[in-house]
Amino acid sequence: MAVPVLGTAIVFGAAMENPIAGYWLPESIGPRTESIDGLINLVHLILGGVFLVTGLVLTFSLWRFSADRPGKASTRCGSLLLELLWTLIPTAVLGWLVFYQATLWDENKVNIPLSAFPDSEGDYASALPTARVVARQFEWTFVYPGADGQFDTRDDIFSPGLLVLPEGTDIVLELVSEDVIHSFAVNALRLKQDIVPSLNSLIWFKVTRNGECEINCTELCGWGHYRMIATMRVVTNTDYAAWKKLQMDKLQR
Amino acid sequence: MAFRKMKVITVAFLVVMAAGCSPEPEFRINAVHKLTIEKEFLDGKPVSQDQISQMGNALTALFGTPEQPAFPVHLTDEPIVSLDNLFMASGAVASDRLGLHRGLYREHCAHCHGISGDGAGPTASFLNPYPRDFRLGKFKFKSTGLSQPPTDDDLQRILQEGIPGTAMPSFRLLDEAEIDALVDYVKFLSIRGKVEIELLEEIAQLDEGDALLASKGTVPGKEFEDQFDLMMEEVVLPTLEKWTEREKNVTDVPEIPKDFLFTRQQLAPLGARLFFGKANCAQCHGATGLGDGQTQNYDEWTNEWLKRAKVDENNPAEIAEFLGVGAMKPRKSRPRNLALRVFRGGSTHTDLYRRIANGIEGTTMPNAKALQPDEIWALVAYVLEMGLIDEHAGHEH
Repeated sequence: MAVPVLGTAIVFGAAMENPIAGYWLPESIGPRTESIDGLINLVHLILGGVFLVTGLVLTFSLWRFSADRPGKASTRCGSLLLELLWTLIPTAVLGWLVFYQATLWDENKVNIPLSAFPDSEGDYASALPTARVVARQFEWTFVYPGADGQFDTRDDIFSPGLLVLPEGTDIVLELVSEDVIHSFAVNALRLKQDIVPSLNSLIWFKVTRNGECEINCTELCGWGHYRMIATMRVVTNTDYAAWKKLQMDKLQR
Repeated sequence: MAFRKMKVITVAFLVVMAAGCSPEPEFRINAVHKLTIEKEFLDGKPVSQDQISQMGNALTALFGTPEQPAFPVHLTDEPIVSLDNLFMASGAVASDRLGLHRGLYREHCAHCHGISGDGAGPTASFLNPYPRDFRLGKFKFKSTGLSQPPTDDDLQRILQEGIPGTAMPSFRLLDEAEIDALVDYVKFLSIRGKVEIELLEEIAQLDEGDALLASKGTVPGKEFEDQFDLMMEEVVLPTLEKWTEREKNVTDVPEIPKDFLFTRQQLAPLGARLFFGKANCAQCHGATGLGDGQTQNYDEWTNEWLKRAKVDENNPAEIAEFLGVGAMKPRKSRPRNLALRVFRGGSTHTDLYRRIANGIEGTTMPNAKALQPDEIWALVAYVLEMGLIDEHAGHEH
């Protein structure tokens, strides 16, 4: 009995010393994140319940059937009812989750804003992203089209480690990897997308508050994975235009 | 039961031992350079152990240890590094209760550049190009001329933006104070390494029994103080002086032609003529700029031992002797593939002007003494335009 008591004491002691506050989701800076947070909380709630129940059953069994207590546990092999229960219930829960979050998935991963297609209507290949995110071991570089609005021309703007974006507008980013699989994650936006080499993908979002937050790599990409961090700076539209102008002037240097 | 308990205790003990037993890192001796001078000056006879330990003592007295670095700050009027910065960058990775973080070099740099700044950390051999060995005091991408150390701004920029096309990433995740600390630590390692190399050169000129630095009172007629002063004057001060003078040696870039980003196309044909003619870039970079011209050279970091010790590059046994003491496997250095439009030292017009005008330290890229500023601008234009051939066909500006 001493071990679980000690274990619990250590966990709570550590939590006192280093409060859990601040380790939960960071404050949101985008619209529509309540529904994503709700989904995250719901999944945690379901799995937390499962964890709690299995933990309690396990603890009870350890105590009830320990060697120094009278009585012996019985063993049984195979139970159709149990097999059915623990197959069908999780299937039902997961199946329900799939339909429950379908709208959310649609909003965030399917309905690309039409502003990303200045020339054509919704042809994925002809999208003109706000910026291109180039991931490589172990840094993020952000490329913006210059005055001509085109990528891969002489006036492209390169910004290593710093993504500057305007607030309140639809933003589309093209994700490119130069080497291995990375994952572009902005926790403050509840946004995450794997970047597979040679498979350029688009993501889109809107930021409703200005300020700075972290961009992380969330796919183990090598020894330096932990330090693959960039800054996302969200500014007003005027400041964004001024920043871009400054970068374009720098190109003339 | 007792036996099982013993087993558990033994395993736990071994785990704790294994975790706590890594040796304290120390500055490793420049064994490659030591072997080089032994081959070049001493017919392969090893340098005496006494002389080496005297050198080690002198280096420790001047520069401390990886845990507690020191610097002869009193020797220069202008400060080269700040001791606070060295403390912050050195040591094992740790934060104290006040949030002061140290060990930055080991956290971010040492696995490639090595504890001693020898460019031979654990990950180094997997990288191409190899990480820089700071100890020769040679740096490629800088605003100063050949054989001049880079300015603080140059080093800061490399840390902030990384070196595109190499494994050196951007370190913008660090704040400015941390970048400054690392810049100072790189300078520290470079100066320490250079002094070590110069001391090894001194040792090579000594007779076998002679002391580099006699202990106090042990050698009659040769006073420790005299020898120490001599060492300071001949080795340490000249090395430090280069670093205090460097700001004066920043090369001027003449005013850039107006609206060059969009007008440079017109200058490109002149640049092309120079590329194949007077400047002869095509000899190394190839006629199409793909870097496929002359590709048989080694860089100076390799030549420093390969050529000086007259190692036969086709004899694996001779090379293996050097690899055994920590040299990196020699690789031919490749002229840049200009068509990729990835420029390691930065791709602004000014950067490219400096690369062409100053050359690139440690490589066969020479400085352009024979070219006029206009001609250099024309070359910059050609180099930047050659990768945009498709764009010309598409839409014009």
